[in-house]
Amino acid sequence: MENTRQESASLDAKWRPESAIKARNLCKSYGSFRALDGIDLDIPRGAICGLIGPNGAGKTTALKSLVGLCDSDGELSVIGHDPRVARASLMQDACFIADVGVLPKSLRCIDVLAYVDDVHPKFNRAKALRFLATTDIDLKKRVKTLSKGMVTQLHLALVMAIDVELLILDEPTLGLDIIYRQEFYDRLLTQFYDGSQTIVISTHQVEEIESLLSHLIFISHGKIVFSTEMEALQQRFVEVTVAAESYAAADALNPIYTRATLGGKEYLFELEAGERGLGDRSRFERLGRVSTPSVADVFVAKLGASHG
Amino acid sequence: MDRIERETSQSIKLQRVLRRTLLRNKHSLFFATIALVLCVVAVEGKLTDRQGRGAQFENPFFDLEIAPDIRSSLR
Amino acid sequence: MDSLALGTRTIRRWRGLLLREIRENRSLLLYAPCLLVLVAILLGMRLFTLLPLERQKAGLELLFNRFEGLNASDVAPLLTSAGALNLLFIIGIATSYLASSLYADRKEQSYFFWQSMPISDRSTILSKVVTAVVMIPGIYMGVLTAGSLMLIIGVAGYSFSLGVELNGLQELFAAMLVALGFIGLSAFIAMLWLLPAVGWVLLFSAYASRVPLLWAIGVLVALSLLEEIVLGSNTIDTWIASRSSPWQYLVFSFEDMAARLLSYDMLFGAALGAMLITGATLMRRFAD
Repeated sequence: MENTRQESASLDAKWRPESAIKARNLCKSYGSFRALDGIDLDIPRGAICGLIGPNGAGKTTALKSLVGLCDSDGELSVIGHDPRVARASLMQDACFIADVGVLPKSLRCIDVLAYVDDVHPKFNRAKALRFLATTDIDLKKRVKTLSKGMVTQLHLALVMAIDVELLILDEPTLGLDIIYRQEFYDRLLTQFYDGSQTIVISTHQVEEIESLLSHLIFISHGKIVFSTEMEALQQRFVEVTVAAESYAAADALNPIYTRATLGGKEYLFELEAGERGLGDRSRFERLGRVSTPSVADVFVAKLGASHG
Repeated sequence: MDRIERETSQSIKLQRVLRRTLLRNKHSLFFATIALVLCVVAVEGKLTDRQGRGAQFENPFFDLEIAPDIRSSLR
Repeated sequence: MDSLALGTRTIRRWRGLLLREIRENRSLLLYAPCLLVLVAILLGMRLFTLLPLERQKAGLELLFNRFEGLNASDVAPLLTSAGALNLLFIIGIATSYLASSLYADRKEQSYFFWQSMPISDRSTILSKVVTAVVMIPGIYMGVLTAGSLMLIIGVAGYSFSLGVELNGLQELFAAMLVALGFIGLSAFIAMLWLLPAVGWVLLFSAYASRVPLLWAIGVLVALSLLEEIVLGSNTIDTWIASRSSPWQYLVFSFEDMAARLLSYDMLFGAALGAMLITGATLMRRFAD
């Protein structure tokens, strides 16, 4: 244990102390399949970071590696711990919500609560009960009798009652009704996040969480395709709705992506480093209506670019 | 100080070697564990000349002759 | 953190871990013993009451006469041996529990919830071992004791109603309590003696993707056969046979128990069990 602490300390020295998650050349293979192919991460504390990627991109593998739920190679430090050797101490300050159905089915809800209360030093039972009082969950019932949405509510209530520094969410709203999905993110932001915690959310439904994010990472085929802060995204990309007569002029400006819409085409342009910031956009304004691109469009564009 | 640093880096090296060999995946760990246990059992059997008979001790508390033939074959 | 707070924390953690095992495996750990004891008592009662009334009365008279004036500790070994079947039930329940302990949560995906708690793999596996070696025998013996008390009250009441003199009731009751005590101790000693088997089943519970118990037994049989065919030796068979005598599982006195706990065979078995349990602990990280 002593040796790994020393190892961990030497890793910490190389990165900024204000980073919550630091990874270098993170790799994970399942047989010959490389699920993670040399991932580098540097997520600052207080960030709400979205890990966006299609199915099979490696999002789940990446997140599970961060909390030590799956083994990995490479350098990794998560809030000062190496999850591969110190998972238990990491989980005192971090929490993980996997796909919806991970709560133990044969236990009653109250038993799950009692368990977390006993084993987690930072769990606040009264807080959890307050959260649960606003749901329709009958605590005496077994988890298997709850709907998917209620299981998520229960899991979220447990997690929000723990005073964690880091929260990792792997497609937490997959398969839920829209009401539960919206409530999930609403509760997360209003009742849990206070600016000091770091949240990493993976999803392939990026539209849902776009407005929450401060940082963005695109992943595909086990590699990071693109990463940025959301503010920088708005300054780096421009979306223009172009009418038919201006297509040629728009094409000449080397768009990175185009998409047909009603009434024309959406062109996506990436600005050179020197042009970023809310500077002169007149050449784009001449072509049509300029707007901030959606993350989904930037993602598709970047994904297409990475595949040549 | 040097000795501690040497031991620490040797221990880290050992951990890395173990992670690449025995702890590479669940299958290597499984076979390594079974192999180790079987070796220990085999070596111990040879060293102590272990016999298949179970009763290594007499039971002075029990005198009931319920099945004397079975008891004697166990002895 | 001062040592008192640390101690309280540790106790709470272990309370959480052990209560989880009992609650998650209610049917195996609680209902199964109740059912087994109930069925055994009811079956015994039913078979007994099938006899003609005179035979019943004669039998009960014999029972009470026999125990009259007897020293409890003299007769307890007999009753303890008669209760050996309970040991088999306990071992069966423990085996079934261990086989699913590291397998079920991987199968139903709740593994990701349990692993998201600040509990090390070592604590998790140790809690399963403690449940198998201490809790399962303890719960079973509690149920057996309750059942036996009800049985003896029932037998006494029934005998009285038939006009049988309850002369040896006190001695019978004392012998039963002593026997229950030694069955309980035997169960605990038996589980410790079986630590290699505990470790073996845990390893397969952590490793197998299906039917872990079948794999655990099958691989053992296969290895034994392979050894015979390929190497022409019988080390595995000999080792198992050297630990399979019924007298190695029953305890008849406290001196017996103390000697057994400190015996070479017990300690060697515990060491082997520890190796296998360590393997199961390390295996946990590969549960994805």
